[in-house]
Amino acid sequence: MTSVLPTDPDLAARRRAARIVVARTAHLAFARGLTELQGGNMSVRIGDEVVTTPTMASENDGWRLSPDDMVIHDLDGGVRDGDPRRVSRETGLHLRLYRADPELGSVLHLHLPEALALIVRHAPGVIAASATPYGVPVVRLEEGLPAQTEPHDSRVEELLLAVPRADGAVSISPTHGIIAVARDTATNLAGVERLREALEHARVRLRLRTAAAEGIR
Amino acid sequence: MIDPASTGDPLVTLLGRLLESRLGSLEHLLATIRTDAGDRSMEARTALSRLLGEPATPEIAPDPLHGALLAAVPGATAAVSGVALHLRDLLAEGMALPETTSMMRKRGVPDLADRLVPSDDLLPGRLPTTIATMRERAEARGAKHVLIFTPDGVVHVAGRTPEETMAHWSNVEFAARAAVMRVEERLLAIRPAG
Repeated sequence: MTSVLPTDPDLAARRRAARIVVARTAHLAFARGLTELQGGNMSVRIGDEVVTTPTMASENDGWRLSPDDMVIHDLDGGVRDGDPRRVSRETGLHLRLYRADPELGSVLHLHLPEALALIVRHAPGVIAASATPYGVPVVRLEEGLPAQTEPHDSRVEELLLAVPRADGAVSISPTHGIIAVARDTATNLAGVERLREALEHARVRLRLRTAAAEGIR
Repeated sequence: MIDPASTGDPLVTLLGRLLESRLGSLEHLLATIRTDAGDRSMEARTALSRLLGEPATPEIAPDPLHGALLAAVPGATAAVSGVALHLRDLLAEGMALPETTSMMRKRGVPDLADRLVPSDDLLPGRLPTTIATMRERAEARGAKHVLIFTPDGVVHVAGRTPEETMAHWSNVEFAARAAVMRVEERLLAIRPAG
């Protein structure tokens, strides 16, 4: 099993370091506009444990989380540390992905605004088409797979395991959001940033192309 | 809050500030600082990792292009390279180059056209000639930094301090955003919204 954190013999120190990474990730993802205030969850793996954001971290906490807010799980879903009442409903999907790929160190479920706008309009194909030239592996689920259900989570796992993901890969769930995975959190955030920029700049290019067609340069 | 200066590493501070400004993109963003012990280079993704508190990644070798740029500017201590996304869009769609900002003009860059170089001119065999040409242009206009960019929107700058270099780099993306907005305004005049 690959750890994304140093193999410090002091379990408490390793957990503390991972809690800090997740708290900073939550802050940074929101500050960079990679998620919004209606949902999402984030996690990192340390050895055979997974540190997750608590449930309702967006609505209740506005992503202003302290390291002590996090919940630590074993890979089978048992709570090893943290408040069991604050286990996220999406934890099962995170754990499933970590179990499926021992090299994964970070899972992010984000409500990326640029992607959500397209998802809500049932246009996920636009996301994949926009992202492809920028080298972000993007896979998308079919319609009719409700989030937080076995068919949904199983399909996310199947699709993400089918693409290169060490440097970041993204799954798009209609009406739900994106699930991003990578070997570590910085790589994962960077991949989502590239997706955001790809979506944003596909629109910039479209406007410039429309202007050029009008003779504006 | 994450303070880009919290790690105490000037490279993390520089790259973190560029990201914080929302002008810098993580894509190909690289910074180098000159120290008494030699040049140090760092990619933005590594800076992000340090800011998050993830394990330290190995230092990369000093970037040779940055080394050449730093050597071209007397007293230079910092170099930055990265994609200016709006500049890339303008160039990809065949639009005019951005007008220079007042700060650019005050700092010896009256026109961006003579800072555009083919990507091949930055290959090792041609780099010395390219840098020498850019240094002459900078000196002729009293600029205390060297700025060049390639048709794929990658901007390279070396300047006296990290803060100054960051400002010069950001200014190009800022100018490009203003250029895109001007195009959009002209388009709106033809096709009014609402």
